[in-house]
Amino acid sequence: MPDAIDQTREPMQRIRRLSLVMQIAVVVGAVLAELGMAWVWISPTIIESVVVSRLQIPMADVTLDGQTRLIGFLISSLPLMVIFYALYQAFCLFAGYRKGEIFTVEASSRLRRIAVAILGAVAIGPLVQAALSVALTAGALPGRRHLVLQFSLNDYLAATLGGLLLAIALVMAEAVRIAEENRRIV
Amino acid sequence: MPIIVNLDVMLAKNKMRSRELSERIGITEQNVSLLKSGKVKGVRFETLEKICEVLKCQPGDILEFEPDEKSD
Repeated sequence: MPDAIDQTREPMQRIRRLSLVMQIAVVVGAVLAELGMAWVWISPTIIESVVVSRLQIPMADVTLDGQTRLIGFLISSLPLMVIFYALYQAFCLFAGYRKGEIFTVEASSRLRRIAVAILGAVAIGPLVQAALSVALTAGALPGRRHLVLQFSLNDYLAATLGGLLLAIALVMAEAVRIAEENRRIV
Repeated sequence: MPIIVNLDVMLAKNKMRSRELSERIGITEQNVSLLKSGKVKGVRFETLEKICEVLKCQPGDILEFEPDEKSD
């Protein structure tokens, strides 16, 4: 039996270590994302290099007054809120893993919520970009206003990741059921 | 359930307590108790083998099939 105990202890220690690192990464990521977002919308130069260039709008058609930047910040915050929700779920998931709660209903539910949040962020991404393009060029002359609809390779990869996580979450739910059944076999 | 667990009968015949059985077969007393009351989903061959070895009996002495009246 000691061999069997060692075999389960070592992977659990690795899971706990990795979960601690991931919890720190999640918090740092959330703080940096929020600060980064604020930093982008404070400076017109950065808006031009980060937002406008990505939307591929001519700078001459863009208005960058305080009101436009506030609207832009609020629009950009929408997907960030969804990402924050996913990060919060990831933080709780890793906290559970550190406590040894691997095959639990809660863990599989959190994984599913992360997947749904990623898919949600992917779904609203093009809408957010379209809204941003409209907001940034609303002050331009008629005929020079833009409505940008984009779907990039990154969106595709994020959608694939979301789908993959959703599948893993479903597999985990089945694993939880099997683990529960196994607990009732003596 | 139509499977009846007669572990308590075999323990009584062998004048053995659940705790002693649990220690000798290497499962928890709680699991022995659940097995005695039939509140388990299944029994591993490994567990059954150890029980039979300790109680010097056959699997049929511990497990019994009693058809459900409703299913007839």
